Amino acid sequence: MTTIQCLRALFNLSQGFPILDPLTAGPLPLIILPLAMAPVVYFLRRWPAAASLSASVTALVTAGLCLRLPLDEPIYVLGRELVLDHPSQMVVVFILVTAAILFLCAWLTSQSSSSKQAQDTAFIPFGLAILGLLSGAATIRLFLFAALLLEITAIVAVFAIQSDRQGSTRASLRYLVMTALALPCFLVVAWLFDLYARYPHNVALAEPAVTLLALGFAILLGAVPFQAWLPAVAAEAPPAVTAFLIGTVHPVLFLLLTNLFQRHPWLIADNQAFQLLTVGGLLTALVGGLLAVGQRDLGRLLAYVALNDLGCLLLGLGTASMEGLAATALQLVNRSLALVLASVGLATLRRYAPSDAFADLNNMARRMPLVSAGLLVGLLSLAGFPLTGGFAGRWPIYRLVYQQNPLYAIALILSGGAAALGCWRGLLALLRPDAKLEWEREPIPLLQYLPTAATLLILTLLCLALGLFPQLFLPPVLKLVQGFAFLGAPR
Amino acid sequence: MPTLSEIIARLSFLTAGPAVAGLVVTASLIIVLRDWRVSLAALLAQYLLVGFLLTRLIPPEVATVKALIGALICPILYLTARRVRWGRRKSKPVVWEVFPVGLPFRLLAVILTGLVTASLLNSHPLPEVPRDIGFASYWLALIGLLTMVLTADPLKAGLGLLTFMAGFELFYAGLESSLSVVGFLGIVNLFMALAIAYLASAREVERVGEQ
Repeated sequence: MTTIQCLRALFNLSQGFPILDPLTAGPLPLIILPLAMAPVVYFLRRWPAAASLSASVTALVTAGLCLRLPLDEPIYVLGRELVLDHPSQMVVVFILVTAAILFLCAWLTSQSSSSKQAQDTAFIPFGLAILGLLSGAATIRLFLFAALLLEITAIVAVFAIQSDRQGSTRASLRYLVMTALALPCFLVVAWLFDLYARYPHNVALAEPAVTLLALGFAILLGAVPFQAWLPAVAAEAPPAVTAFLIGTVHPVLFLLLTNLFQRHPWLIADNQAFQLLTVGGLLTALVGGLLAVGQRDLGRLLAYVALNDLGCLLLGLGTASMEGLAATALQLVNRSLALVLASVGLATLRRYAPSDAFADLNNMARRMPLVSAGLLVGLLSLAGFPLTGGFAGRWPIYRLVYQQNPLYAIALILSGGAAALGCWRGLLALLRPDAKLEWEREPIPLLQYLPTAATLLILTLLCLALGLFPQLFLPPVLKLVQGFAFLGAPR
Repeated sequence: MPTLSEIIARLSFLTAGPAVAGLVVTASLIIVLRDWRVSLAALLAQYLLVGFLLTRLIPPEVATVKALIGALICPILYLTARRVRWGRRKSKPVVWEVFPVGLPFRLLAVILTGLVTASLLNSHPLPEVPRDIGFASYWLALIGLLTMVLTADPLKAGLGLLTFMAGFELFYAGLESSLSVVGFLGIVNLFMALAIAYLASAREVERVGEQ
């Protein structure tokens, strides 16, 4: 029985409610299914295996359903249009699959003691709720409601970041406060859109709209100078949560941004938006790269390398070309894969080392070579190191930026180099010998963490395959960007 | 029994100057005083005063719903504050600021915020809302931001966040008054209160452990 048949059978129980038919309800099941399963998974949280598996299955079933739903058939909820088009379908499927992998990895890498294990997987029910809300934000037509759904997503993410952890609330509080500041920007932009619809000749509306949009998206993405929450989350929250937040929220934010450019061409008429993206992206990449060099723990290093990569993505979009958008989309795929890989490696290291501070990682590369290698490949891929997946996405961005401004391209490459240098320092910390007892220097038997090691191996190979054969992943990416005609429009 | 419209008509003297003056006082109390009981009472009064001001921009029924959401938030925070603080003797003083800020500093910050508010109102008047409501919006948003900046305590920062949101919503009601948006913003505020309560509880456990 296929997924769709199972769901049909389920929904047929409620005959007389045509809205519940998965094929006529538009994108509604993509929102309802994860949201409905979130409380169920929450009650299962004492059994991490059950919680992880049920959440993964829910995410995968929703992804399967999303692939089978008819495209461009709108549905109206309280008078608001929800529609699944090709780009939103691709993005929703992508974040659902990424989340399903992360839910499983969180369980595999969770600590051995039951309380810690429950803590590392405590984000899963909130993760499911976030997926439902993100699906809503990706499919709702009106930007006003997408912004409100994003804000609710951010508040739910606070529970995921804290993950039943008692103690410091710095990361969660920073995230809550920062993301709340984005909402007013977006709501005023939505009002400006309405105003422009009434007065289409008022081009003066574009400047405040673009400025507020830049501010709102920079806050939610954690771009410079609003990056404060990113290292705090990476240092305090379980690595899977960091990977989840960046790997699922960022693709939806990029989708919303490109959709806005597509639906409101007046926003990009004077190129100011792309200039802001370029300057903001360059600053983000530089700050991320420079701060990555000075880090002394792997969690923060992951955050700053991801920040450097975010700058690269913004620059890719800022090139205002179809090639740039395709490279950005490819890099988003690489980025999520690298984040999952790095988070699995980091979580496993945290399980066996006293902490992820460089000083506490002595000899870990010899004790857990596969885990260290996986973590390093993930971090280097985020930094865009050659032969990794990250380089395949970054190379076209470097070329496009070079064509527009060689100085920017050199600065971008140097920032990537700085991020890679930070990773090199991490490797040295993992390799550094220690003076502990002989038995503490012995390699940890692979059998102790065999499923994690297998996962790491698969993800590492996939990451390297993306770097060596990027053309294999290009067709869906090119299909995704084809719909964005605004990049071909004369400005 | 008087209807809602009659009650609002009787209290119409509150919907202009007195309400704005009241908001100046309540927001100042939230940032200046450390006593959580006074801060929460100020927050409740703030929501009611914002509700009165909103009756000039949106239908009274909708303004009442907004005030009721505020009235729902206050018990959530009250129960949390009582659970984590009330009657507890602290063996050592808890530093809840990002950097040490005494009463004179906070008073000075409030006065400076007042000056910035007046300056902003002249240089960037808010569109679609009367000048006094524009002043109240700027004032609440700025005091809310300042409160968030000055503290690392989730409850105090949460009060700042809710004050900031109240200020923004006061302005935004002049731009968008659809019921679905009001409903969504209500959900956002309630979720924020729940998140603040959750974070306050999580942080307090660490503090108890330290003692």
